[in-house]
Amino acid sequence: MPKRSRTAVATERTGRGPRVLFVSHEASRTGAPVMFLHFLRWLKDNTDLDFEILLLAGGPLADDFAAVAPLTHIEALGTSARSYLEGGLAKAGLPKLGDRLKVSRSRQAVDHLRCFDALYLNSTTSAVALRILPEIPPVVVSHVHELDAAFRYWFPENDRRAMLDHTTRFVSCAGAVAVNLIGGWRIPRDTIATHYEFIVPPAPTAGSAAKVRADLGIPESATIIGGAGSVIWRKGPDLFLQLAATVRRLRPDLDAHFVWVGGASDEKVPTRVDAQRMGIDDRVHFVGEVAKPDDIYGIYDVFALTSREDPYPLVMLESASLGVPVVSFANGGAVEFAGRPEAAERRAIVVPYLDVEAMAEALIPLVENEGERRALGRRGQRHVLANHTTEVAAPALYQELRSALSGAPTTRRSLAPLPPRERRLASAGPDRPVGSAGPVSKTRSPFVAPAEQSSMSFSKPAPLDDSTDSTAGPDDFAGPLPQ
Amino acid sequence: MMLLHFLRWMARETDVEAEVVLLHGGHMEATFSAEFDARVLGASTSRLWMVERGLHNLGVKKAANALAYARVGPAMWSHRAAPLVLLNSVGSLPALRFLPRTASSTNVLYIHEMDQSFERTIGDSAWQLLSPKVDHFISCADVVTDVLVRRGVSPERITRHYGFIEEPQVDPLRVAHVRRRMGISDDAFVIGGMGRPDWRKAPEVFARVASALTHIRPDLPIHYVWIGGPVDSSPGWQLAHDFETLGIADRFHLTGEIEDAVDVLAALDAFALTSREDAYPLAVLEASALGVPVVSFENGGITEFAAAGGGHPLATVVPYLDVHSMADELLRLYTEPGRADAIADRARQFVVTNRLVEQGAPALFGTLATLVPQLDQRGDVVTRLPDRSAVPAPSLPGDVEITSGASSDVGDSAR
Repeated sequence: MPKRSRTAVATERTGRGPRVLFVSHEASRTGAPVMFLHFLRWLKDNTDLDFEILLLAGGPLADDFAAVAPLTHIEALGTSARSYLEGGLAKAGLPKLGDRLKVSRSRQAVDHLRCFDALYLNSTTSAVALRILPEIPPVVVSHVHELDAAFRYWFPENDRRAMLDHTTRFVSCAGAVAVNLIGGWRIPRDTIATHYEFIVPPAPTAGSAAKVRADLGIPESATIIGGAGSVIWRKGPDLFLQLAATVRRLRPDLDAHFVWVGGASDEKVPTRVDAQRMGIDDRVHFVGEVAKPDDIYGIYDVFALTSREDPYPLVMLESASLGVPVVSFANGGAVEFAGRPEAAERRAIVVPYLDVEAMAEALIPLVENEGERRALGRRGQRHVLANHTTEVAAPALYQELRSALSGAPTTRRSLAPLPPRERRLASAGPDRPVGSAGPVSKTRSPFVAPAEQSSMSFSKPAPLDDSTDSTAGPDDFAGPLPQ
Repeated sequence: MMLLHFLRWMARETDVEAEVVLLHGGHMEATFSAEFDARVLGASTSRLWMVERGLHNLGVKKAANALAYARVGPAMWSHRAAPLVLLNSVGSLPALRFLPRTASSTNVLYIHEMDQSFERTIGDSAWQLLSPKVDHFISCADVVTDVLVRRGVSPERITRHYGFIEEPQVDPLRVAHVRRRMGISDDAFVIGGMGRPDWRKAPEVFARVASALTHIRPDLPIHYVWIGGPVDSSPGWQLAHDFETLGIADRFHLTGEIEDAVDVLAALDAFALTSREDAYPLAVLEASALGVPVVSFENGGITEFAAAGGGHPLATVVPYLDVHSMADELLRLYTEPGRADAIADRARQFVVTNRLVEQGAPALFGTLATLVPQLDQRGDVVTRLPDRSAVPAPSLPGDVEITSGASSDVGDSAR
């Protein structure tokens, strides 16, 4: 796709402000699209930025996106019959044909999207837009909400290459994401800005708690441990069940219920059968996707983030904003959210990855001790309201976009020291094994991706080496910390 | 795998001419084709099959059904005169849709699946439509018999035949080489799992067991081996991710689909059956035959296997998905080697006495011959066996047709 120079663009649009095309991969009620919608609404209400939206797939929020700005909605990634056929061709051993059909069809639908000064891609999944748009603006911002596994294993090679080729500014939603970009993909540090996720704090309906409990069959006296997210491997609903079983085993006297809000998926995780066979189906409630989960969050006493990998989940922020304390695995951005580990200062409790026993042991005192629960919840709440609401965070993200448009460097380098695992990832560099999403070829851009490895080798990560340019140690993460 | 064992035995010991139809391909497709000239109606890479599935998933059922008829119909039609149609696995049941109404074969369905697999493989409506065409059911364990009874099959039409295996032959030198190749020291304690990494075999639970063990005893030199694949797709990546994030990637080995699975199995110190449901896993029989003690969730026929030792269990069974208990029991096998050896010895003795092809195949054949007497023309197999309830058999001579569905639910070897 030919890039148009800034001069050419400016010449054609004399006297107008910058024009931006924002791309969302879908309109689902999941973290990245929800945050994006918050941002776009803020832009509309608070700036005079001229922008349009491209939706690559539909979802329940499609109308909400359409209400913000002129919208082009195609089904490049969705579940239309044609998308299915294209995917089927890939599975039938004809991936290139399937991809060509997808790109060709999509190109026809977006041919009118021209003369933009910047392209803002929300989520790596939106990178396919780089291959279908008739022209690529001189400024491309890629807002990355994904961590290592998603980047390595589920990011199509063509799209990944396009993103690495064309992106002029990366926005990472957490320090851990930045570490992955730097350490795993050799992206220069000074092109990455970290802007943590932000939310519109949920507002449970006054007096709804009793009804919600009653609807779910949960007694008023019971403590509720909440979870949220799509029912997929990454979000760990199976671990949520194991947590419920472990709490019951450790403390059968505890009147604790576990509620998970979030929709089912193609992965068909057998939560219902597992809960029944584990004998906890009377204590575990999978609510499904809810248009307004605020009232569900309103009944949570503790939020358990059982994700296997989660860059900086909105559901964590949403629960925390209500004063609900968070307990999480060391699975990504939750570590940064928690901050200092000392009990009197931490904003969340983080336990070792997959250590369900430890999570249960951290949960139980919170269930039993309301004072401790409230104190932890208050610290988390203060942090969210001070740093992670749209009103607080959107202006900074807008400024980032403005600086990208003007060619100025970012001022928001990755923040906060990182725990050992993230440092290891940063230091491992090109020796890290690469999944078989496809070969990652060298590109023209300065962002040279690691070479492909042909087999899955699970060698120990290389030790931290400060002499390596791509290494990101805790001292390299400077910049203003969120207050 | 079990079907393969049975076919080989039949070829050696009887005069029965078996023709094999595979409804779908798989990693054993070449073996069936080579040894039994199997007709493969839906090779794993068949684009026509992919198109059929795609049309089905898009709701274009008529077109999908038309393609299915074109794919399966001629094979079934050409065998309409076979006196016996042995359908292996519930996944083969749809083949009966394509059998002409005039066919007079005795249809026998050998079930290796439990409830969830039933629902995911065939669904209720197809079961309601096609199960009446089955004349007799073979269940691989009592737990499967219970599933069939719950689904409306009368007990008189069910005969239980536990699964069986060829006695594995290993060379100790090859086993030692396997450990060296994987970088596993002699003093390491190696825990293995096996099978296609999917929701049923639950490799993510295997990782959770590893996590529990790592947190309980991080000092122990424990290695984790998952025998089976694929490596280069989501299930393999997810498993790798868990171990890498746990910080023990150097002690995790994902073999993929390999030829020397038996050698790897023999290199284990313990076998962890993390399945959500498993009717009567051959992997347990193979591990036991190799002297590898087994720890399993309460997930199916393992309970019957364990109980076959009477007061001395042949395997350790813990509550369903109780990861902590499984970790504890695996740890006990490490810390109490005498106890581990005792369990393994008992299990081995039981398997080589009761669960090898030499015992299982004649019994199964006997049941089939009771249903279709002309199978045992010489009479020398049936006369060695106890009487079984008879079902009137058709009088047409001819071949036995054996159809097999997708391979993933039949046998557990990664071969």
